[in-house]
Amino acid sequence: MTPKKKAKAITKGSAKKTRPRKRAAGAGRSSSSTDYKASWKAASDSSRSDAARIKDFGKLTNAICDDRAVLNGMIGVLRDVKTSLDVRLAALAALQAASFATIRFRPCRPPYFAALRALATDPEPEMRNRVLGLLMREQDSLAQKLLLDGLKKPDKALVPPEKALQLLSYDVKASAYPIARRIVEQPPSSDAKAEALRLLAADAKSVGIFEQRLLDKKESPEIRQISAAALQALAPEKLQQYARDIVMDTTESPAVQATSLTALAQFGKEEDLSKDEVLSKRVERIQSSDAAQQIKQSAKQFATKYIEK
Amino acid sequence: MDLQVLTAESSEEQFAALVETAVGSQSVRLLLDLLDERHGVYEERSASTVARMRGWLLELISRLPDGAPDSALPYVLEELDSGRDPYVVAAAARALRSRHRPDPAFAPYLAQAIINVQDHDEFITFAAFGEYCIDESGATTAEAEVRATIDWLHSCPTTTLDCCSTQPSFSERSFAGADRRTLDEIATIPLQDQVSRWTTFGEMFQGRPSFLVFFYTRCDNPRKCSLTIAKLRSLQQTLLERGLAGRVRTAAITYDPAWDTPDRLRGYARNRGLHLDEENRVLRSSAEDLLSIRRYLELGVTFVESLVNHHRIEGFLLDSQGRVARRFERLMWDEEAVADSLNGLLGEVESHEQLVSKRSTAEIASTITSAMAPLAVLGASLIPKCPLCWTAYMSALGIAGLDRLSYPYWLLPLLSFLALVNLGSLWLRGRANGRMAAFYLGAAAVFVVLMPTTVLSPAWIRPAAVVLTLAASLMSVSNALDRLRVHLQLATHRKPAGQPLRNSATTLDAEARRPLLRKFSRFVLRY
Repeated sequence: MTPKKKAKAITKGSAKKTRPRKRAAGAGRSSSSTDYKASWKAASDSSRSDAARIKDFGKLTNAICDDRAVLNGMIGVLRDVKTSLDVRLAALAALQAASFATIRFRPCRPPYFAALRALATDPEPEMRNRVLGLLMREQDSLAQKLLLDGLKKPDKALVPPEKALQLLSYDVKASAYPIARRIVEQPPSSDAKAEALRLLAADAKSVGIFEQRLLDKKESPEIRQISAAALQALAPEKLQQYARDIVMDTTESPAVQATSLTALAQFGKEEDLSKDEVLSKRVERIQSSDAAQQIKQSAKQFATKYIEK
Repeated sequence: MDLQVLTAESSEEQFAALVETAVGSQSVRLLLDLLDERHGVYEERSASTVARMRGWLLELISRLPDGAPDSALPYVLEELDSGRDPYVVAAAARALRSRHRPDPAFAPYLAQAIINVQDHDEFITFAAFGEYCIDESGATTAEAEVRATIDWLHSCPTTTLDCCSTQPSFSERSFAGADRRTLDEIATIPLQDQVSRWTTFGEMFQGRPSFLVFFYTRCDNPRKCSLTIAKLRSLQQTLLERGLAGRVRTAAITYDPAWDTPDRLRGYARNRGLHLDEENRVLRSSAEDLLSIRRYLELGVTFVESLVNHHRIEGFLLDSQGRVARRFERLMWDEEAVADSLNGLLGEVESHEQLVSKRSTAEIASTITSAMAPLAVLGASLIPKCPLCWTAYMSALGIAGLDRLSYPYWLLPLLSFLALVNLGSLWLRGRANGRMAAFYLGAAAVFVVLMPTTVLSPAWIRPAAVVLTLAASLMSVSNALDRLRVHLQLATHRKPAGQPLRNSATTLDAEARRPLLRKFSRFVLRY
């Protein structure tokens, strides 16, 4: 369709607002109109057991997009703090599953999204975690704001700092780098520090932080491995240089050496590495030693690519 | 009220308060200044915050008594065409609808806006800045706002929807040759291409016309950077079909040089089918140099740390000197129009080359003339030009050796007479130009030559007298030859239109010569 025709078609059809279509549910689908209505009646019956209701919610995924009453009812259950968490999470799962049918879900999205925003401050931590995750995957600005506020003022935090950092890393443009750098310097927990480093792995200005952490033998292997991975993304030539030094250093942590060997094997320059006899001998020694399986596997990978060729 | 007080440090609340005051006082100009992407208030904020701020600004513009002015239209249509944030798109649709007169040319933008937001629409409220909807009450959606604007457009009795073929004039600007800024500021900036080769901005963009775009691989709006590179690929195809490939260059520079390594640039470009070679490259500069490029080309991009938080679509047609001849912004360009422009710039190159060729010929002639001028002076001084000169030669070359030659008895008095005539001519020329040194030198030489050998015994004295006579002759003619040289130089350059060569050496020489000849005639008659 040409742009002109497209414009004409859309402008002429503008009177028809997109609403959830009142169509015969089940046409071409697994559930019939009577099936889903019965399932909805059973699922919305609060006198029934949670397990039974949860089972019924699973049958309503298609009906959500076909019947506005089901959509609104499902959102009502989700937002009702008096309902048990398991039932509410089942309602959330049903809505989430329905959202995968992108085109059919279009008219349902605004009320669903508004409900998610309302649930971002839900009293249940599990609900907050899930909802904030869903919102952040859509790069929602309210969720970003809440998470950043929580990192700045821990007493207002909706989720633990490591979770907040993890969720904020879904949007590199969330302006979270200054806070993440601060957390790296003064971490409230080792998990928070690791997540802050993972978040900074997309920040070109943090190369120095990762170099420092990678070369600091006092840091945990996990932190050093995260730093190596971040350097691979930000400054791969620097990682290659450090990786060789780490492999050659017999006092280094085997886990970090394994990561370094993998970096050399996967991303190294073949013309340089295949001529590096000192490194080759070191790798051969690792292969023949009684070192941990992880590093031996990395050494084998390296040898296959550069030594045995 | 000065909106320049708003900076990167200003809080969102300060922003909201100031823009609302601006609307209250109907300071349209100030609101429009704030719509410019380059405004400092957008620096160091998250992309979503920038979107909220710009959306609120468009909403406030829609509340102006006369609706959104024409000058806001580029921003409004840009958001409808490529915006993805439902809040901003809804605000743009409302701003468009606030105009008093619907225009059918808006239809394709509204159609595109629906496509852009339909998969991530949400409830929106414009009750106050920074408010989010958590339920349906009092809410609208981006799609509802766009459809309401389409209905408004449909109410226009003249709407024919014959609208989609022309590029709006606001999205491009052309610069005539004289208005193009030179590349000096950024010509030496190093650029690295997709295979890590280094060049400079000047080397890359001088010598041939080019089409330059900006993008970055982490852009999450498929209607901007991804489409920019895809359209660049489409342009390459158009150039190929027209036989222009290889005669012009295409290039894309990243806004995010720290992240976009050569590998990433190459992968991104190839995934979109872009042809890459020496003349078609994707490039990055250093982060510092990007600021210079940004300033020089007035790029509409702002950053949070090293990341882009907002940018517009931008493409530049550069002439063969690397100067901006035409720029496209906010809306995607038409490949055929760009190819036409590149063809036009190639025409400029050919005209320029012809002009350079003509200039080169003139410069060579001028150089030869300049080099010849001293030779001409010497030649002119040596070549006898008049009877007086002949007497000088005869006095210098003849008399000195007369005593060794067998000659008629009358030759010595004759040549002595001629030597005195030469001396007289030196005196006359000295009087005419106020320089008597040549006469004194000539007189000394004649004195030496005519003295008996017994008085001046050294053998070298007479050859020295010959040299002195020649020197005197050269001195006397040097002034006229200076003028001759000026004349030759002037003759090789184009005469300014309407300006006669009043100061040419020819005129001066002729004028100087007339009293000289009159005096000489009188002198000859006297003797």
